Amino acid sequence: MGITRKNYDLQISRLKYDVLEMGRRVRAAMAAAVEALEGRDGEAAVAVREADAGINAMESAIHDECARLIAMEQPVARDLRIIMAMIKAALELERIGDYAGNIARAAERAAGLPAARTAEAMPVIAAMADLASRMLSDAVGSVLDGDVGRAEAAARMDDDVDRIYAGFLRDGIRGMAAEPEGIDGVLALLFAAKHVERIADHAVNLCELAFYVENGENREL
Amino acid sequence: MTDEAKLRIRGLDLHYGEVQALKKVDMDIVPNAVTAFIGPSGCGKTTFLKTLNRMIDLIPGATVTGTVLYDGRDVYGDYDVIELRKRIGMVFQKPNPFPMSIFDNVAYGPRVHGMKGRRSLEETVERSLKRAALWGEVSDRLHKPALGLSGGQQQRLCIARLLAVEPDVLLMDEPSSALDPISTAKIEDLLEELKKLYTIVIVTHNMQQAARISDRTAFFLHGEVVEMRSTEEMFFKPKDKRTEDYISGRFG
Amino acid sequence: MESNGSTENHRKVRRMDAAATSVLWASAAFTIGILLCIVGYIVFRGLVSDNRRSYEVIGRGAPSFPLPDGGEGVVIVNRSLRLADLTLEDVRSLLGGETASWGLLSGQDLDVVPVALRDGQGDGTLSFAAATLRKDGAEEVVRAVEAAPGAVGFLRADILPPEAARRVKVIPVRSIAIAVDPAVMELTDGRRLASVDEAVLKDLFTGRIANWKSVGGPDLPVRVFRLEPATVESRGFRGLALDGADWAATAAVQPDARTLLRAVASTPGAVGFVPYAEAAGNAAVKLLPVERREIRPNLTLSFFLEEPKRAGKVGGVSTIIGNTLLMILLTLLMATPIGVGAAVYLTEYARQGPLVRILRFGTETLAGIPSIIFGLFGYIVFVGAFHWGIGLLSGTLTVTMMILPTIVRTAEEAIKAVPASHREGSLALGATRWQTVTRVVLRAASPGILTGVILGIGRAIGETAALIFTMGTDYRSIQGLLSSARVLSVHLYILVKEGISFDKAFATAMILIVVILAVNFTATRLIGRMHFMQTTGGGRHDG
Repeated sequence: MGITRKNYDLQISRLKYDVLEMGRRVRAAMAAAVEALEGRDGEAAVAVREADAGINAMESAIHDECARLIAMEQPVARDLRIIMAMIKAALELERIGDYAGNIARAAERAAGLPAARTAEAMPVIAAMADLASRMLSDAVGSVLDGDVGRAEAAARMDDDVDRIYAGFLRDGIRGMAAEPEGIDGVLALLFAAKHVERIADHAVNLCELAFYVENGENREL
Repeated sequence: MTDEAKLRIRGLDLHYGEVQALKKVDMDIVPNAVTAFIGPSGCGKTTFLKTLNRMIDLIPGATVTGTVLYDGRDVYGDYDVIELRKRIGMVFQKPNPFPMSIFDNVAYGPRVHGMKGRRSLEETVERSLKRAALWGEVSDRLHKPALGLSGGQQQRLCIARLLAVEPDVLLMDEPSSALDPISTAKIEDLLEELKKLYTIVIVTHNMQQAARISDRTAFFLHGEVVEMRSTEEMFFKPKDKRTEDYISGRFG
Repeated sequence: MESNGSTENHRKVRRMDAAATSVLWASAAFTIGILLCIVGYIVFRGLVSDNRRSYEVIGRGAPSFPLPDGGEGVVIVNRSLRLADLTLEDVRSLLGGETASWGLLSGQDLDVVPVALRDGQGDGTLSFAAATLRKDGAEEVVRAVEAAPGAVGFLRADILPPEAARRVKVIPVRSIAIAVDPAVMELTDGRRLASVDEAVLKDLFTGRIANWKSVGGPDLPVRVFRLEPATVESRGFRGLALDGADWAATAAVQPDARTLLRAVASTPGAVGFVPYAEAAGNAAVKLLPVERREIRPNLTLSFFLEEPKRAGKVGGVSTIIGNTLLMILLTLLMATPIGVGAAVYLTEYARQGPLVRILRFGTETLAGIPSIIFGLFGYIVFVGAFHWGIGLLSGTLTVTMMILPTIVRTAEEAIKAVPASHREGSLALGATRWQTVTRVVLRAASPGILTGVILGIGRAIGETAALIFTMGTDYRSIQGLLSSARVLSVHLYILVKEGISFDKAFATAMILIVVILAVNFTATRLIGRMHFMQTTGGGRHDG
């Protein structure tokens, strides 16, 4: 079995690899943006935003490759579902990349602020980002393999991210009420945290795609 | 939604001497729909088709066991073969028009079943050719040889010939495998129209064709029906891995 | 990069190719050439009769012949008569009523109708039958001769209307015979002088031949006698036989015929010319036959239309053609249904087991058995055991048996060649086996079947020996199924074997060829029309 359509299999493998690579780059962007925020490094932040163009280009390329495969290879069943999932996954990753860019912008603004405020907030943000990154990694992997168990587990981590964010928001609002002159700084941090939370939500969307690939279901997680 | 099944097959086995060609086939053919049989070469789909209108009788040494019910009556016991074949007709892979004029080809069936008057024959021929989407192309040369038509036209002529005897079920054995893409497309459009009036069963090698035009699909492998479901499901999410492998082209 | 070896090989192959092509071409040309020669010769001999005949009255006649009173007479006949000339004796017996039919003279089945002026005018030379049509005036005579086929009329040369030659035939009359000393024609040294041709005659009388030895006669010197130069006969003879050349220097002149004859009778090696009438009864001399070449049209429309008479020597073959066509028709009607039916059974209905194989083998063997054996069988069974005698029924049945195996075999092949897809298609529409066989299979196989039938007919037309035994040799038109009937091939055989007429034999052969050509032509057209439906009928249409 399986000695036919080798070329076709090769192309699907390459597609999967491209999506994997896109996911890796997006995670790297997020990590770099959070680091820039932590180190109040304006230049690093700019670098992240510039790298976003490359991520967008990857989405286009993956999209075009999927269209080509549909036209040329007439995929059906699982092959079809994988390709449909890749299109959507690339789109989700592209949006995640945009969020990473947003975090970088927040980092640029926070660069001009006193260090003390960021020092308290950073561990929280870093924790959220870490969770989000793991979610992303598991999500992309589960979509490519159709591993619904892994996808469900990754999706559950979103609850933690939401919880952490809810707490951060409360503290942040209190802090802004207590020290109105530091609002800019706090707001910047709050936005950054929100972006991370959105990244986690999109990671859940990716996990849903695993169910599509494996069972053809449009699951809500 | 579903009426009584037009054809109900239960436990059908077919032996050519020692060799078993069909194993325990169970299926229902739904009326006013296109059912497609797919599967690798030699897996029994054409053989099975032939058991439905007893063309299998022509092959010496073929024994059929099990039941085939057509409108509730046993095809192998309760029906006169002539009557049966009038109601369940067949179109073959290679178009086989008779060496006669176009008119005589289409009129052959009705004449054989006793129709005589010139008027009624002409009306029947016109109606059948129109239903087979061929009238416009041949109305001005009905008395020219049928063999002068192109492949696609000949196949539509064979369909018209079949329609002229007013059948109920149309069995088609790879009807467009010998034709070019345009002719194939014309025949597929034709089947879309015909299924409103008839029940159609089509054997095809062409996966895309089965996907395009059939409502239900059965996958045959080594004389057995591995899976039969609605075409949408079959091509989006088949249940059996063997089906998945076949339709994705991953067969060793 | 081609090695030299392979280009050399290419050259050799090309040479062999060219050589093979030449050989094939030569074989084809040879075969076709031979066939054309054979057919061409038969056609030529059929259309033109070219024979050498010898006559005691010399070969060329004059348009007018001398009358006792010094005048000249002319004989005219209707244009339908095919005659080159007549002897004076013939003229006498025609006008005198002794010869009633032209059969022996011209080979035509016409009655003689003598015509003459109301008062004799032949006097002495000719006497006229009581039945002679008497007319007033030369013009009336000419008109009467013009009107009646078979009419022959006599007029004096001076009253013959000038344009008569356009309306009737003026027949040259031969009246001169060559008398020789009987010793000239005796058997010597195992040879006998039987006749001379016109060139030798001229050489004899111009003195170029000195001794009879040199023309196949005995060793005697040639002694020429001739009549007075002034006589009509002498002038005539000189013009006809000598082409106006000079007499032999040693020729002795005689005053009249009687004297000349006495001289010839008494002189060894003597030769002389006299009016036939004078020499005919004379026992003292012998008449030397002179050979001439006669070229006449042979096969004409009347051959088709006239009945044969006198064992075929006279007349045409009309009844025989009728018999032949009748035989073909009856054979067809019997052989085709049986043959095709058998073929259908063997291919469509019979179970293909050992029995069928034996049947098929038997059929193929029968197809090759010499037809004379069928003739023998027919003779013993139909003619003898069934007591049907020699006649149409026995003959037709014998021929039917003969061609049945051929028809069965070709029909079988044609039916087997019909693709199974047609049968399947027909059965799938709800047709029965029988309907499929008759409406589709036989229809598709009809060109092939027809070819087999044509082959059978060809064999039947050519059949001779078997038909002599079973169908007979009576050339009259048949009275019923049991009457004996002669067909063209048998007629040809009899004409040759009994030496009746080679010319008519060739004419019959030509008719046979024409009949076969006609049958083949019709069949080819029919087969072509049948094929029309089997092929694209003139180009495919795209769609």
